[in-house]
Amino acid sequence: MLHIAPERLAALLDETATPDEASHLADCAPCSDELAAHRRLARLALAEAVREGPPLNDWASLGAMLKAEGIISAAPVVLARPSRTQWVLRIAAGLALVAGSVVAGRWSTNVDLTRGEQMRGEQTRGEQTRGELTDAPRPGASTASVSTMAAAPVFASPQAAMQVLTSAQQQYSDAAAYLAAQDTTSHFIGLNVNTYRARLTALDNIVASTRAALYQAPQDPVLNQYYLSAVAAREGTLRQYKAALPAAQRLGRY
Amino acid sequence: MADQLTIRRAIHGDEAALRALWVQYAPRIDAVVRRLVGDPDQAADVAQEVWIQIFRALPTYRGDSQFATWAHRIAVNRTLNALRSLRRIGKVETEIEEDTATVEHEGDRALLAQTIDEAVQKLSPGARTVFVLHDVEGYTHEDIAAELGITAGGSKSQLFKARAKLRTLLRHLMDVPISQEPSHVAHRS
Repeated sequence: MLHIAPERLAALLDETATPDEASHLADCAPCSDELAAHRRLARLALAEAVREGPPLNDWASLGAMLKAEGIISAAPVVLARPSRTQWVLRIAAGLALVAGSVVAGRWSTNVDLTRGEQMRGEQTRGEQTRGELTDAPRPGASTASVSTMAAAPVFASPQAAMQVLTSAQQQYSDAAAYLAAQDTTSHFIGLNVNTYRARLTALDNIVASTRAALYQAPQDPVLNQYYLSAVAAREGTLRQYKAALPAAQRLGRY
Repeated sequence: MADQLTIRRAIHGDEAALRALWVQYAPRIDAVVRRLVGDPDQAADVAQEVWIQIFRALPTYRGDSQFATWAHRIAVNRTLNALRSLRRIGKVETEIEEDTATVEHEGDRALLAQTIDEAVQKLSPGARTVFVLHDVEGYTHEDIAAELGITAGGSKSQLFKARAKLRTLLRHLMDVPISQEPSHVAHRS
């Protein structure tokens, strides 16, 4: 009985057997076993693609080569920061973004506006001044009132605007940390471990996206604001998530 | 996944960032270099060249593919260049013929490799290159032909011979009783 040659069996992983070969393989156990063994070998080879091993060099020798090649910088690396003009643009864009978000948010919350109308009648004047809802425009309000509401404050200098921005960011972080410690949001809107986890996943995506965007445009002020906000929100949510976990569970790493 | 900020710092020559990338990806990148080169000492030299090339090319990395994929492609190309300069691939077709003729016999099995990785190192340089590129890295015969300067048919022929030899080298791992092996005294054409 003539068997199929080893190299032809190896080829049959990629090629179709001729009718004669197919007939032989159907009747010859040794040849069909050989073909099966070749298939197992192909799977082993494929698995090699993801197999890792120890580095072939150490960093000391590679680092020395990289220094000799001038790839490692001799001076400490400081990534470029936005110039003064760019800071001004950054602040202006950030404020426009915030103002726009406030306007859009207020116009889009019809339910809250109705509730604001009810509160207007029920609450004292002092309470009204504390509530954001009392300042919301009524449906059908003129665009003039909206534009008045969205008007950005005027700053004496870029430094003054920068101080306000820095202070606002610090206050935001402090408030987020306080809320995380108190876990008050869970009482208000029913957040639990699952919703924190979902939010973390979403924030991770946002952080990754904005970071990737910053790689393309590292000095873009709007992207910087989004990135910083997402990172701060993620940290706050992570603290909330840890606090919401049952006592028996411990979050090692997220 | 590589941190984009780490890559940015690495592009500017920050040693800590470059080292972080190397620590993260060397186990994978060096593994493919070692598979293709075979000899450990030569593989270490080639791996060093590969990493210099990767870091030199960093400014061209646009982030539209994963860093690992991008670096892997550079590693394969640079390794093939290094092998070409060692004049090892140029002799591939003659070597494979000699190689197939000297397949170890039953008595040599104790000396055979215990894993496919070790067995691959026992192939001739040319056969190893074709096998690794096709069956491990997923290159097509057309890609291999272009990389090695041979024909697609030649690449196929070498691959099948390499597989046949590996099958012999790894017979003890394939669970086929010796008594059932085809005699191969006579083969179909």
